[in-house]
Amino acid sequence: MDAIAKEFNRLERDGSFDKYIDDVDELIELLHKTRNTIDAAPQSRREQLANLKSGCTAWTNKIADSQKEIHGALSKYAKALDKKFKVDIEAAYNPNAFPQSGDKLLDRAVAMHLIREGQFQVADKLIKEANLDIPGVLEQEFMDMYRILEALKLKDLQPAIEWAASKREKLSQSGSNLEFNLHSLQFIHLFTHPNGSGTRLALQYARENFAVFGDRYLADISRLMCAFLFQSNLQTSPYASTFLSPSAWDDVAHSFTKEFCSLLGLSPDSPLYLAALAGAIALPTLLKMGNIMREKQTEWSSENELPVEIPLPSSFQFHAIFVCPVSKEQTTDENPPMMMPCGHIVAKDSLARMSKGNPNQRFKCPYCPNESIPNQAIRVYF
Amino acid sequence: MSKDFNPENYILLEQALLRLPQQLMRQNFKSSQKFIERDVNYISGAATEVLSSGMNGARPEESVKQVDAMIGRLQGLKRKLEGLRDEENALMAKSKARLYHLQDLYSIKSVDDKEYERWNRVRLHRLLVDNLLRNGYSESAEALIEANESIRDLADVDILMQCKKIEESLRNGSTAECLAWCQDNKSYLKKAKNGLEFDVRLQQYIEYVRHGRSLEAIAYSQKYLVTNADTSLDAILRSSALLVFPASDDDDNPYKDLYSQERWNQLADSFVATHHTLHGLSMPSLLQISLSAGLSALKTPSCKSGTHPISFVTNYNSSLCPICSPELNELSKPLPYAHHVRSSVEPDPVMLPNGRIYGRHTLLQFSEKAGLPEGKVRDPTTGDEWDESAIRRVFPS
Repeated sequence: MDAIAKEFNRLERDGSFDKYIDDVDELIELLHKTRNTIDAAPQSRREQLANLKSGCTAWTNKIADSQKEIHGALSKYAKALDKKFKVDIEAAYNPNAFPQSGDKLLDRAVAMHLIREGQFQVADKLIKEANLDIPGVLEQEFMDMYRILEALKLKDLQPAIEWAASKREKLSQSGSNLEFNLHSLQFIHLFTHPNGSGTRLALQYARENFAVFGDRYLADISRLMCAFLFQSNLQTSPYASTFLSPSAWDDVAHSFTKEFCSLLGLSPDSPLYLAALAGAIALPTLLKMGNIMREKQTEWSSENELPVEIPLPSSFQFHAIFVCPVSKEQTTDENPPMMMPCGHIVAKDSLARMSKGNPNQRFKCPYCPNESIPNQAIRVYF
Repeated sequence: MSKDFNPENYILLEQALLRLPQQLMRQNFKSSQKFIERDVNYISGAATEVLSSGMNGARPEESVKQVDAMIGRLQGLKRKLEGLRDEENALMAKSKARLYHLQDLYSIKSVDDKEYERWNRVRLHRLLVDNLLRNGYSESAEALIEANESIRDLADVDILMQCKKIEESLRNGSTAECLAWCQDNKSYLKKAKNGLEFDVRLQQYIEYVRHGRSLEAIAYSQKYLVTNADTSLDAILRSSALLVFPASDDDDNPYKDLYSQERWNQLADSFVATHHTLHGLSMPSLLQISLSAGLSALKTPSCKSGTHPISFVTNYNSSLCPICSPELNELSKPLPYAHHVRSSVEPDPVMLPNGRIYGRHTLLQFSEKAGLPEGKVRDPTTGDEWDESAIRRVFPS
């Protein structure tokens, strides 16, 4: 990139059309001078016109020089780009990826992404322009979510608490602690409020709101209550980290978003964003692969599996991956993982191969001396 | 995993970003060359003339008038050049903004960096705008740019809108706009030996014949088609037969392919391909390229739609999987899944009586958080409950 940046700087300096404007201005001035002089002193005209002619010739050369300079700067920049960008990125594209009719699917994905990101106006325009069919309830839900998040930004927990209370049953079923965490944060917020009466308000709040959480969160409530003992020197107390954490609000907002989306059956991050991010990380590898395929003149086959491995950061793993130790293939619905009585797991096809297709044929597990027959194997789910 | 981040790999993907303004700058320069050449010739000639007529006894007022004419012409040139200069400055500013955006990549250490995530959000924003423009959703694109004005320099609004306009005109059966574009880009098309103009003119000829305007058709063919006899003789011969076979959709019309309205769509597609190649734009949008890569990289054989697991505690949770999401699931169906050579399951895997496997720690933690008494576990996916003693260790690898 340095080479490109260098050439670009040179282009900015040497490639400006201001040169032309200056050149033309100079000639215009000469012409003005000539005609004014002839006007004032007609007897000088032969001399003036001769002067003019030579001036024009000089100008022709000058402007040709300017052209050369500008053209030179442009060419060098273009060459720098050519040198860097030699590969054709289309080689990394799987032509089977988006069949024609898929266009609406992509538009739909984009619209839903925009809704998730809170860009409601843009989403509405897109739904109209592309004539998409997206249930309005999705937008409603996310508008609600952003409303609550805006309140949280202003340290107003009320809307969030109301929401959590309304979804209490579903949240507890999924093992979530959100409602209690919200109340705790409110307690902490009141407690640490600089206006002095904070602790009294906090106590009152606790009395009003913690009761219902008594059975599940007794330990946490007790902990919070003990904070009163340290109210005069919170910084040096064991409560410093919980009560004075700067990221508490961000964490709770994040938690809230996660829960909200989870109840809708959605992930907290926009899938489109994650896919594009994964794509950006994966493209260099696929580009190499695509170029090799082009050289060898092989096509992107309609195989089910990519031919190369693409290393992604661990945060991009959402499913358990099981590769059969015998066949080195990933298990699928058609070829599911099977557990033998010894506890080792292989793919069903591998099982069949080891027992030569006979479901009652004894075979030895590849990992331990145990023998078993395929009929004894159980299908497992990762 | 935190691999060494190599910015070069990522910059390679963004060639269109820098190429496009550069191409436009080159076109701009060519325009300036044209104007200057014309006026240089004029000035040379005019100066010689005014000198010679002055030497041969023209009156002073005559000479002054001739010089004034030259001034007028030069002022016209100046105006045109000022316009081109403004255009060039705009393109330079755009290029600069794009260079900075790309150079940001150099300050990133790894793909896990927060900075990289931020850079990618800007990138996605840009890719979305580009995709919207390519599909002709101009209002949405404009609204999206307004949400973050700094994207404007990274987007190619005018070029893509113009392309869309011409594309639509072709789909609606009009050749004029496309032909004007071909005129403007004559030298490129000639160098690339591109047959777009011929194809469009052929279509125009077919239209004349279709509407019974045979004389105009013949004149048109003589003017525009016959000149390409060396490259497209077959097409010309076939087309001249149309004069004898009137338009009809009958299956037995041997020239029904030439009369087919589908040709307009083919022309439109051909135009878009030509346009994009000229400007260094990829045919599938960069969003499509990125997604085709990302969806495959994320997809696993277990990605199915409609899974609504109750939990969110497990590390491997398909409700978080982008491929399993309602937005992307349908879209991902035609794509291959990712290739893995090593298993990756939760540590200390245990199996519940229903065959489901989880990491022991995750299972126990989930059950505790769900408020179950000690010694009892619940399946996060199905909700069934068992005694802790019912789970057994398994060995996937």
